[in-house]
Amino acid sequence: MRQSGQSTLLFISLGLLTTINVINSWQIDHLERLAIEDSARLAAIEAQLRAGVPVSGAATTTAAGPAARSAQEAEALADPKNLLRAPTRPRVRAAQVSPGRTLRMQIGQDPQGLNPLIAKGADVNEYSTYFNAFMATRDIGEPERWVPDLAVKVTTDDDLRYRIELRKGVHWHRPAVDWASGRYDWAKGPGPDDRQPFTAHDVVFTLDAIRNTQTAGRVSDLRTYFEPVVAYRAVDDHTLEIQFKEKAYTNRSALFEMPIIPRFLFSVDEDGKPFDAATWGLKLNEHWYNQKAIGTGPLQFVSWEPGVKMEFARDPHYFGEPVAYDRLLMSVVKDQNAWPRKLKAGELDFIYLQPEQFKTEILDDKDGVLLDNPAIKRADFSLFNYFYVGWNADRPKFADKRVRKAMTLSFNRAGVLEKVLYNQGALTSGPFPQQTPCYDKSVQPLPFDLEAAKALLTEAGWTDTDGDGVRDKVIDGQRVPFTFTLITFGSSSEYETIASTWREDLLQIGVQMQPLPLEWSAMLKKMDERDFDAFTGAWVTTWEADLMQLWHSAEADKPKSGNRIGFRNAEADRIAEALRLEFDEAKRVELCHAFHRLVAEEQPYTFFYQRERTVLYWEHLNALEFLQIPPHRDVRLFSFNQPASP
Amino acid sequence: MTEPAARPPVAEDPSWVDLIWVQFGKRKIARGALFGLLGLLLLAIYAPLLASNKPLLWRVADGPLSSPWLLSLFDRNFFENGVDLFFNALLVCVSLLGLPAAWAWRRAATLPRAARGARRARLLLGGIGALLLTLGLNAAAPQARPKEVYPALQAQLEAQGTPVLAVYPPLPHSFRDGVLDQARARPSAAHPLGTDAAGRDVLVRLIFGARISLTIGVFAVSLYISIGTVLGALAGYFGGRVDLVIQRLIEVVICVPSLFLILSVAAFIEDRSIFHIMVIIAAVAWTTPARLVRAEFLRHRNLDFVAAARAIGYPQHTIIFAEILPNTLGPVLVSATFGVASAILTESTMSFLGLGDITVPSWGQMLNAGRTTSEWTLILAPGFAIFVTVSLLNLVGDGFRDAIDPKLRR
Repeated sequence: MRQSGQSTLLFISLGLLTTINVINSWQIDHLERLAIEDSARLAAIEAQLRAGVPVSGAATTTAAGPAARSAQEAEALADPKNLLRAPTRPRVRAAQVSPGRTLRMQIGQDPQGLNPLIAKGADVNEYSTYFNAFMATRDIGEPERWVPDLAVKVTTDDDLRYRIELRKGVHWHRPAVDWASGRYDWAKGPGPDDRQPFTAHDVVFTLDAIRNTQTAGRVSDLRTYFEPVVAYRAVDDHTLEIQFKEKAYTNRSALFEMPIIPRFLFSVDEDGKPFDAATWGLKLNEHWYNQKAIGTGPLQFVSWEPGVKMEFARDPHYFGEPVAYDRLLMSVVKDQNAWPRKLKAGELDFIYLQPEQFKTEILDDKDGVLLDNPAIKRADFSLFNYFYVGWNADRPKFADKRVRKAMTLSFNRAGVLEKVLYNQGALTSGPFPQQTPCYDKSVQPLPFDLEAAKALLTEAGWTDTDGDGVRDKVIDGQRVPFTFTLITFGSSSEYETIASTWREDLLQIGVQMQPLPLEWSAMLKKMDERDFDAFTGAWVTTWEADLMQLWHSAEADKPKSGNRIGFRNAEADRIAEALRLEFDEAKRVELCHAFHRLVAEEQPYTFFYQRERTVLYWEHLNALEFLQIPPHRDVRLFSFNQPASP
Repeated sequence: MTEPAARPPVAEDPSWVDLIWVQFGKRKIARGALFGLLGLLLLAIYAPLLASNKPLLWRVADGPLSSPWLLSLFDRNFFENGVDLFFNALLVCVSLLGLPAAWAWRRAATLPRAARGARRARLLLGGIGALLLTLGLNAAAPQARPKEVYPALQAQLEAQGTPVLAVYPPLPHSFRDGVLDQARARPSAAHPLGTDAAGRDVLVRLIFGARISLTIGVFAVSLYISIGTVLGALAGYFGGRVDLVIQRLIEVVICVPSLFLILSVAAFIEDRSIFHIMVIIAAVAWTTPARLVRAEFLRHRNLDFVAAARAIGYPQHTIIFAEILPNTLGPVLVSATFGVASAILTESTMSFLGLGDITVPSWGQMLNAGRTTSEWTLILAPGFAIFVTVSLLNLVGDGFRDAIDPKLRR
């Protein structure tokens, strides 16, 4: 009896202790949160002070319009030989600037790293446009127009030798390191906030890094574009010359859109000691600063907690139009289903909707009030991509263009797009984005027509001679039935539905198809080994049409090339080569249209559709605007219509 | 089991099987569950008669009367799966021979025990023979004919003014042909449980899914019971080094979490069919019967009847498989009924995780499709089917366990 009394006492006191402990830790947690909020507020005020903005009071403009651009730039733009031209409109409208605000967005996963030369992935490419500046960028209004960024003037006589005049007075962001420790004093420069100046030597260093075969990552993709570079040198701190071996349309975009990294940081180790000249490329791959970002762009890197968040702040010394808010907070939310919930809870300012969420949140939404909150709005934009089915032209079955055409005719693309993909896109008939002039609107997607498909197969010699419901043909002395395997992207249930629908339609025309869902890596392996009959795929396209990589017959024989389907066509080769050398916009469009008609006839791919994306956002943001060209989302364009809440 | 009035006057000792059967019969819930399972089996066998888009009778204008339904039963372009062909062969055999066989089985009850056993064994062998013959004929002369979508054809002909006589099964939908225009339809008279993302009727796929689930359950379990029994018998009978090796093997297999093992093995097989899935399930699940049988053998091997068998000079395989094994099967069979249920669940899990065979309408596959569409019928229907089947199997297993336990005899 006494013993049980004692143990009860023990339990009670243990319970009490636990409760006290819980309360205690909650209190500390709460205090800590308050302290963090305070310090964030102080940091914001400090940033505002530095940017010269009154701390209290309503929105005040700080954005400098295009008029405020430097005299150097104005002079350069006046030169008729300059390849760069004035932008048609600014990115940020002065009336939209609201200091004190933080733009909060979600990212589905952490990027590989933040060194835009090393880390691979569409996400890093997008983020690098926030913290980095480029030689020149495509204009928001007219994407074929190049506007000055770090370069103010680019001249060339023959499209072989380019002379580039760089903007003066540009400084790199302050590296995000522990300055108080004194260890990084070597990184201090003469500029404001101890910043280092941006010069032509940084560009030369970047080109060295790209052409150094030790470097790996995204740089190996860039290297192919810079292989034809013969020579490059810094004439002085703000002038650069670069010479290409061959004239090509792609030279310009490669040069203008190359990410630039600072020499003062990436040529040295953490203690400021220069790397050994023989191995510096390898050192760059694992550089100590690769997990942080540095650039000359409008937003400077603050911090990155992998799996949690990444933060950027407006750079007060940015040379161009500053963004309309103070901070950019990217929360890592891996669970896509949580995105709408987080938006609704006010933790995010805008989200992308996944196709199934599009169905549940928008199509099934009876009252028309998104997420049951009238303050949430919707925006849509079309992506630069297309989905397709590739046919292995090296296999006897699909070497015949009539067979490939019959396959396209038997695929109920419109029905699938409507019923399975909820019309989140538009049917497409060629490899160019529909928003670009290259897309020939007169080429209609083929209809869904089983009778026409049957006729084409019969014409191509495929008939059902043994009455088993599957067409057959004598190939190399052997009677083979028309059966094939379609490799589908296994991680998406939509492809499963599409494959099973198509399968039934194909059986009606006497063709047996076996779907094989594979994970991306397994699929890629099969495609690289050319071990497939057909596969479902998608390409992200660019504004600039270049056909060499995917469609030239020289690529068909290279291992692991983009021309996986083995497309070999003399006319296509001619167009692809001509397009590389053609600089006249009208003639380029003509070539593209000719190619578009050619693939519509040849059907090397069954072109499927171009996807659209839907965004939900809070109405405290101004109407969202998206770029026509990838990466489409440019947070520099976003702005708030209210000042920060007090 | 009710005994007929014409029982032979000489009272005989009830055999062990009879005893269990009577005990099982006294457990009403278990007996009901057994009838439920029987119903499920019949549903699986007669699925095409309930649901098919091939007309039972078909006549265009004054043309000849035909039955596309009958021809479709062994059509490899329609029933391309081995499981369906097997069940269709069962359908033919059960329809033709089922009633006479059942009658002969009942008649055998009037015979003395020895003759009764022999008669019933002959009947069973005859049934299996007929089934194998049907399957063999089908394999020797595979049938395949051009695909025709009859409801569409009928609509087309009638639009042209040609009279068409077409008699369909009660659910005139196919388990594989979808009508995209009707995708994700809500439940209605035409589609009692609605349609899925490809416009296929959910109820029809549910019925055909019973075939897949039952096959996977029964075949996977038979496979692993066979492996487990043999290994367990060897380990238990011989002991010593054999036991040591087999025991360590069992420990190696069970120390890996089975779901991870299944998933990783499945990931290696590129083109997964449901037969692969059965083999995978068997490959991880054989340890339970092996340990059960081993324990039973350890108990039996020193009993008098084994000593007697040894004294007579029976060869060892006779002692193991003919003398001891039959005495150890009770617990194994009980664990088998539970095993069927867990195999069905495992298959559903694999399909749900996208590692199943996507061309068959298995319940897990449907559940997986339903999860992404967020249509409640697509989630609830296969879930309910799995729940009912697994519960029935567990109830039957419970009943058997109680029936063979002498302490629980009523």
